[in-house]
Amino acid sequence: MRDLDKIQILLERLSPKPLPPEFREKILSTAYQKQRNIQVIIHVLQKALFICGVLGVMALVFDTVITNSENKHLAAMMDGSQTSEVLIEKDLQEIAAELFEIEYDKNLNQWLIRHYKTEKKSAKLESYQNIIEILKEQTNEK
Amino acid sequence: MHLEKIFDSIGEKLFNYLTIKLCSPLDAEDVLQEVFCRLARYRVRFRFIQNPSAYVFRVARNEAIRFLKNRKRNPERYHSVEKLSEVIQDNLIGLENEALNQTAKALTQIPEEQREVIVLKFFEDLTFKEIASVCGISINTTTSRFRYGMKKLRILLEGQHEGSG
Repeated sequence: MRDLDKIQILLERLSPKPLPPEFREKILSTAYQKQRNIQVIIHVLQKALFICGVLGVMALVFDTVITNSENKHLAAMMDGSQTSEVLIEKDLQEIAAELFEIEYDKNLNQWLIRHYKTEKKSAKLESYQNIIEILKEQTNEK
Repeated sequence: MHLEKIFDSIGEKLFNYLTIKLCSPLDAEDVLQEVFCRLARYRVRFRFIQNPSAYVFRVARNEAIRFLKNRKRNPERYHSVEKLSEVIQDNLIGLENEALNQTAKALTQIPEEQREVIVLKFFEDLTFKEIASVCGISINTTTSRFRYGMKKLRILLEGQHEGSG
């Protein structure tokens, strides 16, 4: 036991050599330099994250707006077809009335009217639109 | 706690511990640098840490183990008695005294685990609780490693005395 105490005293007397004076500065300056570098990287990453977030929100907003607009368009084409049909029919009637008033090229007028009536029976919206285009072209030519 | 304060309080002890652990002052400097970079990088909040000095020693120990693994060095070959003896001779003062010199030499001949506990206890002034925390072992294991290490030191020193006598 006494020997162990003696060894302990000997071990306690052993001490490390002091560090050179520039050692402390070297270690700390490198550590702070790395800390600054990391801060810059973190700052850049935060900005990038923020920009990505903003872009993501914008994409979501635009997507919603575009989807709504598409839905409205589709509704106008599909569900709201009656409204469009009424409008087209009104146009057709006006153009047809104008055509009746034109005296020359009666054959064409008659064909157009026949065609309009045939298409109207089948109640195809696209056909109405085609007729309107044909009639408009014809009216312009006259 | 700022890095300056940490360095002023335990920087020298850390370097000494790492030098003996890695058997190289140059490697110890690299590892110590990495320890402080790590502490700076993670902005460790020391007010939430119960024992900052034990914590920093733990970080240093982990860093030293990582360093050795990265270098793929064989610890047995790396911790050769000759190399360790040379490092201890270079880094400890008071070895002109024959008894101290023999003690330092005997220290190089005990197993690394036991030497680590003795070094942390006597050179770095850590308590058994702190040593247990640094090495990630129980206090009982720490004390038994210390006891076995001291016994081996005694045997080695007695042998040296008998040899010289």
